[in-house]
Amino acid sequence: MAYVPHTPEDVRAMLDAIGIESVDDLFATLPPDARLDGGLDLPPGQSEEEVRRFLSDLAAENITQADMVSFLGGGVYDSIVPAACDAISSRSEFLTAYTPYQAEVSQGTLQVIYEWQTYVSRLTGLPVSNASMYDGSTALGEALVLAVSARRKQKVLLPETLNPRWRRVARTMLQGFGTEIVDVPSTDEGTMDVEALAELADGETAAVVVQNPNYLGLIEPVEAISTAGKANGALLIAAVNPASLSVLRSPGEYGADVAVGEAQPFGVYPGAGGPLLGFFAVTDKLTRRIPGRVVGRTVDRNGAGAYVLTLQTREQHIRREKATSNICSNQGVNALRATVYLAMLGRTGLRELGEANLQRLAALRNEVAEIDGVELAFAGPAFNETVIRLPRPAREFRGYARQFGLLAGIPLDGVPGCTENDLLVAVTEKRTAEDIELYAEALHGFVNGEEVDL
Amino acid sequence: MSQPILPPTVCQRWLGVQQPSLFEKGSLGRRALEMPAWDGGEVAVDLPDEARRAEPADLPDLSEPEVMRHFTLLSNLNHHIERGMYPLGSCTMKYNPRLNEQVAAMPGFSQLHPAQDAGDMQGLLAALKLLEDSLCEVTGFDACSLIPAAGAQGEYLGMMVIRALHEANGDHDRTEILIPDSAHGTNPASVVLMGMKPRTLKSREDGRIDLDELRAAVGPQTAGIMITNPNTLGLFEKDIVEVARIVHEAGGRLYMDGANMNAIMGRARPGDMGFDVVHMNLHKTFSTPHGGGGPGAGPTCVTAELEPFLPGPRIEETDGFFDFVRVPGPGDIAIHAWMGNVGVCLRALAYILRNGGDGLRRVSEMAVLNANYLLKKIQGIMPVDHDDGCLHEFVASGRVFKQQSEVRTLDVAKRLLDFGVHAPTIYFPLIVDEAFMVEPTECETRESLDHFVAALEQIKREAESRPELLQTAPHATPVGRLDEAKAARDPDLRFLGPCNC
Repeated sequence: MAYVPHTPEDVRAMLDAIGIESVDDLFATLPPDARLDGGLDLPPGQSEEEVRRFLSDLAAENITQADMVSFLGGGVYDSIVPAACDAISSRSEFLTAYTPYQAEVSQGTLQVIYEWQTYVSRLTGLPVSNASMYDGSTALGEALVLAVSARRKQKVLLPETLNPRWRRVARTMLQGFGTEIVDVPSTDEGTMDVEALAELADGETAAVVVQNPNYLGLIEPVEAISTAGKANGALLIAAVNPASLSVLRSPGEYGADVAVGEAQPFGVYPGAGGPLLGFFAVTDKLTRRIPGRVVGRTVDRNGAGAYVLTLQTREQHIRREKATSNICSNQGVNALRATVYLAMLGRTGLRELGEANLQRLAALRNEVAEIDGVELAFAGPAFNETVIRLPRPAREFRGYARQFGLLAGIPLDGVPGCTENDLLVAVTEKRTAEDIELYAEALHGFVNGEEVDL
Repeated sequence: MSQPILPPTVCQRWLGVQQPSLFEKGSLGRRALEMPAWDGGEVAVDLPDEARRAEPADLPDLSEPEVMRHFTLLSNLNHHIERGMYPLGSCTMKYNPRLNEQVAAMPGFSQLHPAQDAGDMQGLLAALKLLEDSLCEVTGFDACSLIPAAGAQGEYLGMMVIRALHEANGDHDRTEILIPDSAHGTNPASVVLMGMKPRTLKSREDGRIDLDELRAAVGPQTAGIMITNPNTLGLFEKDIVEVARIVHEAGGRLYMDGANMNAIMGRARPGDMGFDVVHMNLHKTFSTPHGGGGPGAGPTCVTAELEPFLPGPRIEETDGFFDFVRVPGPGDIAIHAWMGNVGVCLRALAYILRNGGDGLRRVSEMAVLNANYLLKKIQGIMPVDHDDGCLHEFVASGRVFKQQSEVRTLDVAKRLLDFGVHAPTIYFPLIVDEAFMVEPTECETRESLDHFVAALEQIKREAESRPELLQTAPHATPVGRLDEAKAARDPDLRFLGPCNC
């Protein structure tokens, strides 16, 4: 039997020690009307080899970013995953450990989280980070809940250009608070309309969200948004792609009170969208309102420096119905992967990562500019992603480009400011000049209605 | 019965010692991760200066060997399931099969982008559908959502679908959720976050629901009840069918916290008992790793009545083709950007396939056998007040130590660390004085259970002869007991410089 060590002799000896006859006697307290007779209707167990074969056959049925050249983004990116991330994160010392409540035997996990918090702080320019969140969308939801309860106001402003999946999650998480969600419109350039924001961000507003780069890949006028958004006391929540913080202004620099985002590009496989890695950072003032786990440095009884979970009086174990979050986990393994990734990258590598992303995106945008019949929907500065406006529905091109071995992008129908002909295209540091030429070729062919003969 | 006597300082000595922070290591210009070369010629980049950060983030530059050593040395400071027993009550710290890891790492799964077409993911969707169906069979329900990323999120979703149902029925006054006082702290927290009102239900002395209290509490304001079954004392709710009848008659719905499913697989199913919704923790019952805090997953199963309120995307099969159904339900619930923790779900599926139906039943049987065996042995050392048919876990009380020599349960727990055994869950549930909550799981051998008992026996003797040894424990661990008050008083939450301690 898989993973269960008991021999019949073990079972007999243990039943005797307990003083009962049979295994059935162990379940004597189950009332007859709640018992399952006849067992579970599931197939019999299989050997490791059979299960491996079955599941690897299913895996082989999938067509992935390893088989195609991927220009998909929208919050999850085809980024480099160093081998070191796999090696460290598969160590059972990290992988199979419990939440580090017993700090004396969890210093490895605790120090990694402390180092993760330090990385998040240095990237975002905000002093206090937590141990991580489920994903970027729930991190944003928690940030809004924090703002609503800290400010005791019931209006929040979300940009039209916010990732629509994150918006839905944020809306769900605010349902219980009766919060009014108001959309801030965009200009024709695809970024936030700062004048409209200035009018909307009144004394009743708990929070203003800016996503930078926004869902369309465009860099927002963050300074102006910060000034207008915070004028009447709202908290500024910055939702950021952490890879962009290699080159873009950090949330701390433009006065954000909270920074959240999705750190999957830091060494986490896309994995069909999960598990991912949300991050969460705040100003000193909000330290005691941060959701989730936090690790601090202290001393042990011999005066040696050591790490421990701290500020637990915020948590639901103690506050119960007074808690403002029910989070009692973090994405430990993925935070570890990201910490290893950032250690591998360093200051020099981070800079190169940012420049590589800018360069490859610019190369694609240049190609698009030269093809008659397609254009960039928005021309402003961008990071990682851009919107291509096609002559026909983007869905058609997505299908057409498959013949070139391309996963071409995410159609944007239904996204404010976009049409069904718009496609969100991500270009990461992994894309080569050849990949981008192939993309241009596919665009040419699509525009000219060429049959593909590969 | 003669057990080897462990000398007071034996323990599993640690390989590792404390490490300097990463931020004290490295040297500017050292490289580990480099970008692929670009052969596309010069490309002008349009990024205005005002968009650029003033200074690059101050990250240490390290070589790959330095990185590997740093994290490997840190890893040596952890207790983990492949090192020793982990009898944490309510946490189900069972062995995490290596096959699960292989499966989740298969590129056919791990390299999928969630925005790909369903046609690209037929193998994955077939696997997820199979997991949904298997979990429905284990729990006795009609539909399952794999999306909740953790137990707390599954519980939150469970409450959301109940609220959405009442809203859809125009029952806007049903805002009260009954929660027994023995419940986990996330239960009331989730209810409040949902905008509903928790109402505490006083349990009987054994943590089971008091039917008279329940009858007095239900009414037109009742939205539902949250029950952990078996409860946090490891006891089955004997009156559960009657509880369900009372709550349903009042118009409420029943949510079960499935944290303790490892006790009853193949023996009883929440759906058959009258529950309307249950969440499970794949990182407990279904052997996926805890990862030092996550990621886990909290799939949630519901009755057909509640299915329309589950979040999208739902997976549906038509003529052998699996497709996403993205239409949000009437409650318009979204709890994750994509499909939840898919990689965790794949691990759980591998576990279910390895075990099969009979194997899962065997898992629960042996988990309950191990717990009862330990209970019997520990009763000679510490009192167990509620020993009336414990299932997969039990709660002893450390009050004997306190009476004996001012040794607290915390001290006993810390001393256990010296014996290579992780501490049990302590001071929970709140309804037991000096609670010491033990869940061995089915994976432990009789020998390792005996080792645990021998360690406790020795600790009992030490409590009489050398209480200070316990009060200052642990001694064999990489660091000693920590100053937690200082950590909370002067939060030091990021590296600003070497520790000046």
